[in-house]
Amino acid sequence: MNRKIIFKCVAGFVKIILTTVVASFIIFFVIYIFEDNSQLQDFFGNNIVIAYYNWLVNFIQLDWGWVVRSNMKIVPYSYNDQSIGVINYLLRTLSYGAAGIILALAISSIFTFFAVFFYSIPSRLLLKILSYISGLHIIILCFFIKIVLGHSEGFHILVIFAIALGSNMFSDIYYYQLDQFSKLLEQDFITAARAWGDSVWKHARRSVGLGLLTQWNALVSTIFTSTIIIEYYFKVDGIGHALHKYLIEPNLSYPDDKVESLFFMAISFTVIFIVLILNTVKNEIYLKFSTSGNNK
Amino acid sequence: MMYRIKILFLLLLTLLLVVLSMYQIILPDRGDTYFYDAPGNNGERMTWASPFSGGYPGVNKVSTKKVKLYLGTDYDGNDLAFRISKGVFSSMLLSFLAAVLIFVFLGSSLGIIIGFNRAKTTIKELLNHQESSLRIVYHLFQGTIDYVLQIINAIPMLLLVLISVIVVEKSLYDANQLLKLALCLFVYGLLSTPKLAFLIKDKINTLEDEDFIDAARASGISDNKLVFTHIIRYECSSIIFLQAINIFIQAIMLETVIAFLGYGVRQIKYETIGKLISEFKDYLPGTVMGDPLAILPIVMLLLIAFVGNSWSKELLDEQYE
Repeated sequence: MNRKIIFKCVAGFVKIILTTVVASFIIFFVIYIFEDNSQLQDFFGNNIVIAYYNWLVNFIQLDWGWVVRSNMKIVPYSYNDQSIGVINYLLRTLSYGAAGIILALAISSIFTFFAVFFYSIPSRLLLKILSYISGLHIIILCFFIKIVLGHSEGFHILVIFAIALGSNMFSDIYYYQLDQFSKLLEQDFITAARAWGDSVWKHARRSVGLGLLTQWNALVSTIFTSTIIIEYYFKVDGIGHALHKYLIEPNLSYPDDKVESLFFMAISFTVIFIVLILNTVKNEIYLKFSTSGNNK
Repeated sequence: MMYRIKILFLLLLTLLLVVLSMYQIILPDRGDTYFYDAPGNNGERMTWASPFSGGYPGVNKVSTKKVKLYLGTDYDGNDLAFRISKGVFSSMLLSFLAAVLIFVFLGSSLGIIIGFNRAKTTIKELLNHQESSLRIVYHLFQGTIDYVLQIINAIPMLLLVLISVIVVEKSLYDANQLLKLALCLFVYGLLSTPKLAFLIKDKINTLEDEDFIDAARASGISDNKLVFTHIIRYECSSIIFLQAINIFIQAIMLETVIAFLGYGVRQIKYETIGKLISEFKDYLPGTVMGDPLAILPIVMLLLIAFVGNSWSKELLDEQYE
């Protein structure tokens, strides 16, 4: 049994690594072929496969290169201002995204629960309004936050609300949970549990988790996009801000300079790796969740 | 009842967008600059009026002809309705031609390739059953395409789009900006194809066990007719339509994001929704020229697009169920 689990873990990890390598090669290929003024040709040779191999070996040895304009070294984790830590930025982005998703899930679960099981009209109304607001693009929400607050401080909390609501994230979770709770309400064991005076929440919990897991793939990309835009707009530290600071802004201001391809490759590889790990963990949890439900 | 009301509103929203995009064609002379027949703060004539202010007719700077400017003007005296109309028209056209067409065509084709006649056995079993080598090669081809699509699906879209934007911007520095934008949207459409391909693959996998497929095969219907008529046209058309609408709106939004990041269309003679948004963000309260009314029509436009997208999604979901 243990050997089976170990084999499964190793196989899963190898699959993640392989997919990350192929995906990062696609990005490397695009930059290498179409961009003749990048760091990749200069440092890793004229043959694309060998160049990618060289870059990958350097990357694995944690030699992630440096940023052209400021000459700052790119490192996995930075402890000072002399280097750029990719994971520092990534952790901030992930924490904002996680806060947003937890907020969306909590609001949706609580109010959908009251709306479905206790027929609460205010909850239903609130959810409907929130789901419509959720249809707004994150940029419009940024505008609204700025129109309401102007340039005053204290928008950090609203940023999390914006991530939770913007670009359909809330509505996706809400519609799935509404569907699941409505189906659950029709089940005989729920009627029996309610007649018995048992807590319905105990049974609804599973739907809450499944709601999150089934929407996971879509949510991860939405979180990344929303958080990157928010960070870019409000200059909040994270991947979006880093991309703006080290890639977009120099590229727009000094178009003749080299593209920060090493920085972009480091960010891409790390982000793809993290996303794949999150998706794999989700698949395992989902399998466990749904199987345990069937056993019951 | 709600279903009909939603359809009616959706039609009205579409009509509104079409009328808006037709404004520049019906009134092509509105591309000139105007001032207002009213005194400004220092006694001079106003060259800018916020939308919905009304009351003062716009006066053409060259011909001095008086006209009604429905949404006021921007700070340079250009008719805002005309600019928005041009922006809506070019954004819609670019999204459709560059992103939606390739998405629908390639997504459906790849979905059929990876879904139809898919071996439900492993390669080892295929070899043991002494399948023809052509069939084994075909199954390998299907598996490879499936894997490549999964990999593309695993990369966060914004990263890929961002790098394509930067690459297009640098490698085609002097090219037409609308063409560069079209290329970026084309890349977006291309990279979104796994979504549609996987949906069609799943649908085909479900349908292959259905009785009517066996019956159609028994009655001698060719594979081509089975795929294109029975599966794609009758069973997958709603999925394709739903996804196409989604990509259409998402492409418009992506153009907004690209412009918002500082790329996109910047030349004066072209207008897109993204260009208007990024230009008018300087008019937010707290900024030097801040006035919320100035940005209102543009934000309203994005709202219309999103409400339309949400409703069309809901309606098609209902219909699909």
